[in-house]
Amino acid sequence: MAVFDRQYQPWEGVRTTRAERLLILPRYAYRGLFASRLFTGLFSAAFLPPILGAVYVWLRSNLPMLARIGLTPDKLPVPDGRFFLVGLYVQLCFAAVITLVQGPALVSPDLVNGSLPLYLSRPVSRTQYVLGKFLVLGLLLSAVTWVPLTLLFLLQGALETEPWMAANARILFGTVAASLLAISVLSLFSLALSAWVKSKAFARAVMAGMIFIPTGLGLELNRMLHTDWGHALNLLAVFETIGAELLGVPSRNGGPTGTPDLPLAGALLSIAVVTSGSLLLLNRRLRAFEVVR
Amino acid sequence: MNVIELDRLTVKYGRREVLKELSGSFAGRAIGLLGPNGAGKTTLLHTLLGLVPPSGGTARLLGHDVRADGMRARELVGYMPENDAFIAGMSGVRMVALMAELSGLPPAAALERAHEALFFVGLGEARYRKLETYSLGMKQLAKFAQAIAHGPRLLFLDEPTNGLDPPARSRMIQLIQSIARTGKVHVVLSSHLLRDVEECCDEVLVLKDGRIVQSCNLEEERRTNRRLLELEVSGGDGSLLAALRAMGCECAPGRGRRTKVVLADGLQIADVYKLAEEREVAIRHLAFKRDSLEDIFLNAMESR
Repeated sequence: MAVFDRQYQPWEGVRTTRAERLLILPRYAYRGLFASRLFTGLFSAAFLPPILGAVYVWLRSNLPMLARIGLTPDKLPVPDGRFFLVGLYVQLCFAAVITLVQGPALVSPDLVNGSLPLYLSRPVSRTQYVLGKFLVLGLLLSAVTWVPLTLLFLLQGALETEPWMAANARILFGTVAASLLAISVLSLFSLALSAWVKSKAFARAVMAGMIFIPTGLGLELNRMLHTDWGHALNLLAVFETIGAELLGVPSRNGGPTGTPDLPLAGALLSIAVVTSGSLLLLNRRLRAFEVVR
Repeated sequence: MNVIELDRLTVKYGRREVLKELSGSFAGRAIGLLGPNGAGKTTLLHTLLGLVPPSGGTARLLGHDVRADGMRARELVGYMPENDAFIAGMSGVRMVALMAELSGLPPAAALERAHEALFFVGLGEARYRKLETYSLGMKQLAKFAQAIAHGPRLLFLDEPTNGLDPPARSRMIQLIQSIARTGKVHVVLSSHLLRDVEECCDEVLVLKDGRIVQSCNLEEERRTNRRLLELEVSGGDGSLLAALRAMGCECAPGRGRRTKVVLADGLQIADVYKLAEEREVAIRHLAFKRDSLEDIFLNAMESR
């Protein structure tokens, strides 16, 4: 179908594999996303804490520099599980904000503008569509959570004179596993909300409400019922509890913030409820057309 | 090869049976899917595209079972939905390229063909504009472009002229005709507008209440029509009809003084005039007995 003769020609060439097609939706989504300066600024800001962490790790091992600013290595604690847990918590906060900004815009415009039949009439199943949209967020959140924390871990290991990496392998495993879990839950939750509420702005408001209102409600429940299970309504506390367990350090909740720990069972239950609810909602809402029975 | 093969295809929405044991094979270059609103045209298209699972029976597209081999079938199909369908925030060319890539084209080829498809449908100048700024007619053309960009072997068009003004409708019909004429793609055109189907299709399938009530080859109908005459003459005492019979034509009495004549192979209307002149018979009336698509459709609607 060359422009000059404007004749229809079927495609005779080679087709891409189904695995290659998985990254098409993220690729197209990112072009639109990074056209927004606000989002690019937010995304860039998410790298500041890992950069500060890297500076700290580098400074600890740079004795001449420490001497120049009047410090000794023993005054700067060795980065341990707690150091990475705090890092994980901070990065998950950025991940939550990115999800809040971008998540609701993933599915709702397709539902509002009727573009689902365009996707699903191609060699794309509903599962592949959801996976493609999931990857849009999943890859973004990976870039601000476990990827920089892994690089920080490797930097610390490379600069440490003792065999630090092997002794602290659990930190790496815990950071990556907790990040992947949090990314999966946040992405699924926002996709489900995006499929449920058709307006992007309203979906953002609902998502913010569903993060902050249950958090306050959970604190009130804890106070009234003298329990710690109220934290199960706070997604960030849930991720932190699981992260602490995976990293093998006491949760930060029991430390500086003074709030009591959420039992691990409560955190896992919360994850199970949010994930299954999101999957059910997605299964119900993502249809190529409305069926009138 | 048959384009569409249906074998007792049944589709239910809950307890409601929307398609009832449809069977048949269709091989036309351009197949018209006719029927009143609610007849099941769109449901049939959705089922063939795998958007609705059949409750029973089977359907095959270009030899691929839509249930067992649906992904392969959908690589070969382009679909233009009836309702508004676009991706907000994207330019025309990006949406068409995205859709072509999802159908399996490599990125560079998809982008190239997206530009070509948009030029082909007449949106070349508007291809960098955001889709939400397009008029209704432009959105229809953009939907058409995304349906053809990946070079499908079979094109499903669901009410493609919906909401178009006469010039835009004419342009759309021309596009469909030009694509069908290439012989490189089969077209299935679903419409409740008889004129659209008559202008584009060579085979027609009429649905009513989820059943196929008529299917015919329009080309054959047209050919047959060309051979069926209605004749009224004066003078000659039946010598013209006798001569026509002698030449192998079939003649039967029609309304009033008219006679229905089926012309023998190789005989043209000019020969009838020549015979009449030789026998000094005056032809008062000569007309094709044209069984239009409207007649076919109305007969189908009255049946059952």
